[in-house]
Amino acid sequence: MATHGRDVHLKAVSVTFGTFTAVAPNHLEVKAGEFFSILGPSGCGKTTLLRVISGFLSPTAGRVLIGGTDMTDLGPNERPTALIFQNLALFPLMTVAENVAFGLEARGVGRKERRRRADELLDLVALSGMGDRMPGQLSGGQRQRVAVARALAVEPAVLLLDEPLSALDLKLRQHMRAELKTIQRRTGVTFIYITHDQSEALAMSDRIAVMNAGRIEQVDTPDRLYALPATPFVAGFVGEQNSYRGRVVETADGYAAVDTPIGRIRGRAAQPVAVGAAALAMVRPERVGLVGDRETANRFEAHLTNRVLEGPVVTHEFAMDGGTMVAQAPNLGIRSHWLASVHAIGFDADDAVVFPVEASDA
Amino acid sequence: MRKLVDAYGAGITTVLLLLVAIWTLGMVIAPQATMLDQSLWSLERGTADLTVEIDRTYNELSTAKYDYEHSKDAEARLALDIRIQGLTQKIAELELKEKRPDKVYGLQNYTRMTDIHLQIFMKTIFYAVMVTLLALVVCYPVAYMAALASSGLRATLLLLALVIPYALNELLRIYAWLMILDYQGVINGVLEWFGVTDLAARRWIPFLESPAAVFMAMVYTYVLFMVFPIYNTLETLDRNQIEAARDLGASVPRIHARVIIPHAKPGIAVGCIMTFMLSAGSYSVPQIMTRGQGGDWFSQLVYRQFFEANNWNIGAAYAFSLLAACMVFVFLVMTVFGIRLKDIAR
Repeated sequence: MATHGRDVHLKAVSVTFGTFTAVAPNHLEVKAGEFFSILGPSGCGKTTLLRVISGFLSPTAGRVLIGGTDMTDLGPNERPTALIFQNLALFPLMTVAENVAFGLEARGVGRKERRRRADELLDLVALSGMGDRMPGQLSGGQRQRVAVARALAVEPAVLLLDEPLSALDLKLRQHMRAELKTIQRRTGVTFIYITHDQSEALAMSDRIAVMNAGRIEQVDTPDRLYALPATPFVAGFVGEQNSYRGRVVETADGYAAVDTPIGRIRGRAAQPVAVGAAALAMVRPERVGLVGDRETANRFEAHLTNRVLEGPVVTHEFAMDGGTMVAQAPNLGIRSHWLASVHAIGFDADDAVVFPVEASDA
Repeated sequence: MRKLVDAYGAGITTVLLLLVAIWTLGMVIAPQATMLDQSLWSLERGTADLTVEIDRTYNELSTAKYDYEHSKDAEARLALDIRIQGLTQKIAELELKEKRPDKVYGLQNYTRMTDIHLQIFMKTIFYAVMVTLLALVVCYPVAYMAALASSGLRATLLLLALVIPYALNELLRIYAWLMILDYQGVINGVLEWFGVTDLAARRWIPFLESPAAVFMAMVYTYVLFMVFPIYNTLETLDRNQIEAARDLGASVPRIHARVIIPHAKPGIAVGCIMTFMLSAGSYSVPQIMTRGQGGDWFSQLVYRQFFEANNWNIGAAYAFSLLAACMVFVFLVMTVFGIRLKDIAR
């Protein structure tokens, strides 16, 4: 595979349909050869953004640069991008090999050479010998791979994927995640992957952009996105959390203390906050633990109200003065010391995040 | 059967089946069988020879009667009397044969087609193929626009514009074309402004004498039968497939050739079959448009055999030949397009 990924640069791209703003002005830089995900709930504009990158939709304003070249005015067939559709859009009346080689056929490659390349690509996606089948005869996972092979056949610099795994069952989806990641590494093509499934994005991506209501709220690596969400939306969309509203009473060195109904919570300030401002404090369930006598920034006396065994992890629900808190811990089996009913639970300041919120929301 | 009873109950199912049986037997099988039977026999009246012989026998009878009245010899009179009786008997037999001719079964109605009629038959098939192709060329873009390339409202308006003229009687639509293409019609009138024609001096362009006038009216008359089957199949095409093809770099003609047309194939085949059948059998369009100025279509010949020549046997044979040609066309189209009856029934 001689293809190499190129970078994608969106400059103040926005899309409006009539009075409806599907995509607010956004800047986005995707590096060459990166596995980049755009994560967001349905209707957040991520598919619209993808159509802008692929060239099916002209942005209302802004420029699209691919590999440093302005391609805003080029059609989808003139861009070094290939799109994998949510429903795959395989051609049902062509064989698998014809499907894969369609892009080459459009480029005037001869029949023999087309077939050779198609077989090569089918090898890459582990579908050797399936070239003469019809798409209808394949399983969901196999069709998925045909779609990938068809898109890769035109040697795109950027591969765009529109939730292509959403139709597969869980097991196959997990398997295909690994496979897509492998293919991406092997080909070096830039992948831009659209999904509403946070675990999918976290598992595969080098970096993730979280989108909400047409706006990109945060672009970061999966680890940082999860640990340091920039906005309440990102925190809420990516993973579970305990959240408490309150007022900022103290700030220092990027940390803030918030008085909430359950007591004072100290955490990292995601954005600068002022003393007296309304704020939201969040902590992930798996960061909450038994603290015993250990000194910790946040400490609460609580009693266990419910315990849900989920296999490898156990979810504990606690009640305390002014509220509840969920804690998640690895299943330690029957040695578990969470079984007692009253506990001292808590977390470090680095495990909690404080966001400023509109006063009216508080 | 079980399902029908479950869905509608025994009463309605019986009625439905009965209606279907009546329709199939009474409207399809019986008329076709009668037609086939009609086409396979003819009445042998013995042609002109029989008439001549009857005339000659009458003459002989008159002579014999004259001789009988003027003869006095009893023996001769007796012989003449026997002869007169014989001749009277013979005349009665001959006249009976003339009145009730023999019904002769055979393929004579088919083989008796004259060269000129055969020519018209071939020409009609050719013309019908031309009309079908023309209709396909006109209708495919229309169906494509309505099904895939327009937003909801525009597609609705387009289809409405197609359907509304069909609220008019077919004859009126044909007469509309007649008024446009007539010697002193709209086009010739407009051309007079530019000095191309001169209606007063009877210098006009005889559009109506060209088969193209019939083609045009016919395409217009049967346009919906081509548009709707194609529209229906195109509607079911996943637009993502078109976008995928475009994304992979395919040109517009290639997208049509490789993605859209293969998908629309059953619709195109049904449209072609319907348009061909209708135009090959169309009587009113060629009759009204040419008014005898252009060549006949075969359907006009069939009409004349039935209602002017009053020869139902030849008429039936002609009609059956046309039907057979249409059947051949249908199977040809199905073979060429590689579709089965199942696809058409969808």
